[in-house]
Amino acid sequence: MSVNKIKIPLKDINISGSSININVNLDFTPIDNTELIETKLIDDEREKSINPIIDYKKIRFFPADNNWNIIRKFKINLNFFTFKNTDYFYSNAPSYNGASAYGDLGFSFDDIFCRADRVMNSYLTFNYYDSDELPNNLIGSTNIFTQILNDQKNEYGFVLPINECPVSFILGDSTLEPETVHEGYYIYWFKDLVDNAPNQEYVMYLEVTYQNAGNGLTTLHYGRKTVNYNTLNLTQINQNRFLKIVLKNDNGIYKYRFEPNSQQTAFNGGPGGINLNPQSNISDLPYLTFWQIQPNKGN
Amino acid sequence: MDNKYKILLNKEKSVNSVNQNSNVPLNLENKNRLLPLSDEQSVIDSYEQFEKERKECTTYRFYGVINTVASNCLYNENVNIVTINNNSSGRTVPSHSIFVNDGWYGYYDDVDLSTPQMQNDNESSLCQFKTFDPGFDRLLGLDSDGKQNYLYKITYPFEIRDINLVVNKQGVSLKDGIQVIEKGVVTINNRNYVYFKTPINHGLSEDDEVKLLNFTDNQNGGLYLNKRTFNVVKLGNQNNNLTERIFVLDINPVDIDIDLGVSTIKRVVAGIESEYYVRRLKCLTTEEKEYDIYPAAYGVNYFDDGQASFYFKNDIDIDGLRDNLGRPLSELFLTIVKNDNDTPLTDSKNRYWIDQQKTLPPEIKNRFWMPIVGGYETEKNVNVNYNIRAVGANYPGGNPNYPQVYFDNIDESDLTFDNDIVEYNEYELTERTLEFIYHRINTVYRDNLNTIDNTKPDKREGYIYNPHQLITIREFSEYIEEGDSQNTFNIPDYAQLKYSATSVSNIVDAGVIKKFSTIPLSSNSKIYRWRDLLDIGFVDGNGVGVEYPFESGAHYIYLNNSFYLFRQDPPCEIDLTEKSVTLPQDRDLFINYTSEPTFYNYEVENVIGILGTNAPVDLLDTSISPTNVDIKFITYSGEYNLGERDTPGGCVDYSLLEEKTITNVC
Repeated sequence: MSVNKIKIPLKDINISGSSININVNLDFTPIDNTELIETKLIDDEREKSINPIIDYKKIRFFPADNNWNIIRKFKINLNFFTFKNTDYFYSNAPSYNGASAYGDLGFSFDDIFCRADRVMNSYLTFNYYDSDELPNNLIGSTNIFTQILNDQKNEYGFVLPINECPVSFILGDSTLEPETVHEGYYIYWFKDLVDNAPNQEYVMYLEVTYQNAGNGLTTLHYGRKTVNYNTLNLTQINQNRFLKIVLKNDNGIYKYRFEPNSQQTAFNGGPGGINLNPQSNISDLPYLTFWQIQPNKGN
Repeated sequence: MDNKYKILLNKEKSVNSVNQNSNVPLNLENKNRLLPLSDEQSVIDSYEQFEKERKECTTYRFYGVINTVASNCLYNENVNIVTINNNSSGRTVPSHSIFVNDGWYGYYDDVDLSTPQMQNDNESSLCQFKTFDPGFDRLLGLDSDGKQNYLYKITYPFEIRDINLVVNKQGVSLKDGIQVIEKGVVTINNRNYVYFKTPINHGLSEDDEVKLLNFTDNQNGGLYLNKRTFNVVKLGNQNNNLTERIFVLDINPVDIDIDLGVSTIKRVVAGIESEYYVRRLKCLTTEEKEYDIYPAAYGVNYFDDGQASFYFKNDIDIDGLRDNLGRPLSELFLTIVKNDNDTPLTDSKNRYWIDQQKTLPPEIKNRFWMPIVGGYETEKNVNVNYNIRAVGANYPGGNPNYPQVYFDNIDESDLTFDNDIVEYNEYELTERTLEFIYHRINTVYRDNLNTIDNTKPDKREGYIYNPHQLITIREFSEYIEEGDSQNTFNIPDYAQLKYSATSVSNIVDAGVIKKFSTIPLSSNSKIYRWRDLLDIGFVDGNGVGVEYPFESGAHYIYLNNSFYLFRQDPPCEIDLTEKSVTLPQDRDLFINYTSEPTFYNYEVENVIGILGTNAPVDLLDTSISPTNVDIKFITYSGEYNLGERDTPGGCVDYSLLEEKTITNVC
């Protein structure tokens, strides 16, 4: 620090209360900023380095039809290939859009009537994936076990003959349709991801398999009938394999709907098996029919 | 560090994946070109960070289970409503076919081949128990008709209001204190003491100080009522009953009188008089779509009724909200309000009742439930307003009749609701609930039965329920802090000003003026008193405090509540009544009487003399000679005149009646 020295003659101080301006210059330069670093920088950077909280809250999504109206229940039909004579065929006419019968899967009437373990422990699996392009991630799954309910009984409550007893599953709302099975009816997913998705719509993909406890086979099912897969590339096959599902925040009501492609839809006479807005003369319930893919016949 | 990333853990992305530790590179950029002496390292304590985030968070998520305890003891009529050719009609279920099943009144259905068989077993609809309307589908927490029976809301106290509890012409109301409705004498050791009864709970304890306002001093001022307080000697009357409504003071009963509805009392603590008011609630959620409700897993209560699980889908942020005292929120309420539209309008039962009610005024004839009214469980007194048990006890010419002053026209869609009566004492800085509010509902049909059918009396007894259930989200400290504005940091903005150096207040206590002396601070100094709002997770030695999960950036509060639907006035008395008819001319009337739910038996006096035979005779035979038949009914009566009661309260003594064992016809 430099100081200016000034001589002040007494004669100049003849008035009480005189003031003298003294300039004080500081040429000090800090050699570090330790204090600032410790008191501010570190705290600030610590705060910045902490990622925001992830919201793991999952909520229920209700199934909706093509118009985003919630459906109280829907039916799953499974259609299988069976080996007849020299080749595999669908177990019913090619134009048929419903379920195969339990007899086509090798079950006997006694199995159905007695609710044998080999029937009751067979189940349908919904696998949910994040993408329809491989490699994708399995993000959840639901098992729906065999139902011997109204569809499988006659008007007197007796089990139908095995060639008439359909491999179908009815899934419904736990409050509005208490007598139905509710597993698979809802989708549980992150609310935050849907709320922050574009247009508040989040997409996932469904793959359907059936586990037959009678013969130990797991079969893969598509939402359309088998075509000659030798003519399709992998992308096209996956488009058949996976069924698109859209989760949506519809003005505070959380819903999902199946969005089949042109080959998977049965709406308006489409060739596939998915119809959430059936006309009353076709079906009384929204339905999803899944066909087993053609077994590998070898060369 | 401008970029922040939300990292969804691997295990949530895929069921086949596990979480992995990740290193996040951190760039420290400093435009000021600081020159650190050494490498800087800082460790982040996850617990500290958790606590920090928890303290800062004002977002709540509510979920839980509601156990609805209800029955349909107040059903409209004992009819089985059926639809034939798209028209609804009611078939009377005779009294001998009325059954009570776990508190529900109804009947066992006949064989009905049109009803589908139940699924998953071979049980048919034969013997299925069905309730009279309103039944399961209107009163329980869940039903399958797609119309919810109750609306659930989260509410918070935001303002207060004043009400007039006791009829008076001087404009005295709750803000002036709790009105006194009765004076009496209690004798202790041969000495007479005066007792006073209040229409609601007084909230007093022994030795509490009470200020008497607007009483008559028969000693011509010798009691110094305006200058002193009195200590409560004991609670309750001579037999120690009604301790919450009666308190005893050491005053000679002949020296003091009350002016009904004008004389009031206030509790006094350290010279500070309590305030009395009604808290009002404002909704934080408003619509049905804001929560999801579904059957609780394994959720069946003692009466075999299903319980309902629920969760509010949207987060509830209380940031910046203040309660009626200007404090940060420490209490929320789960508000449950009866939904009038609890069944689709096209439902056959709705159509049947609306058809029955077509002669009623237009504002109610298309409703099933009367508009909700609110009140309190007050003393039974003809001068007391808001007596929830006396709703409808005002028959023309009836005696006694009760004033029908209530919180009226309450609807589930309301955004604000009246709640409890509370006492607040500024010295204690605490609110205490004196009375919970109740809502009263009754069906339009029952409430107006005499208008619909002038041969039948009204059935004005309804259901009552407490709509607001407390959710404590924070607790105030038991310790009262005190500090001056000059030397105390962090005085909360809700602190009460005790006094300031520039405005010293005189406090009169028991006739003695006590003056606060100022402390030697600047003239700007002000002394405040407050209770700290305890941090979430901090529980003091006396168990005061709250602790609940903090997850995903929100506080999770689990509610496990029971929701009770009470009878408005459970009848405890049995009344045997009798009517006479002459057969065969009154054959239809006889059939109607014997189908009444209150039908007990009938007698034909001197059967042989009248009918000329002791063989079994068909009384409905139109060819029998004129015969007088006495028909007996069992009805019930409660404390209030609310019309006919078909069903007994739990307090009824059945020993007066003949008992017989009946078997389930199914």
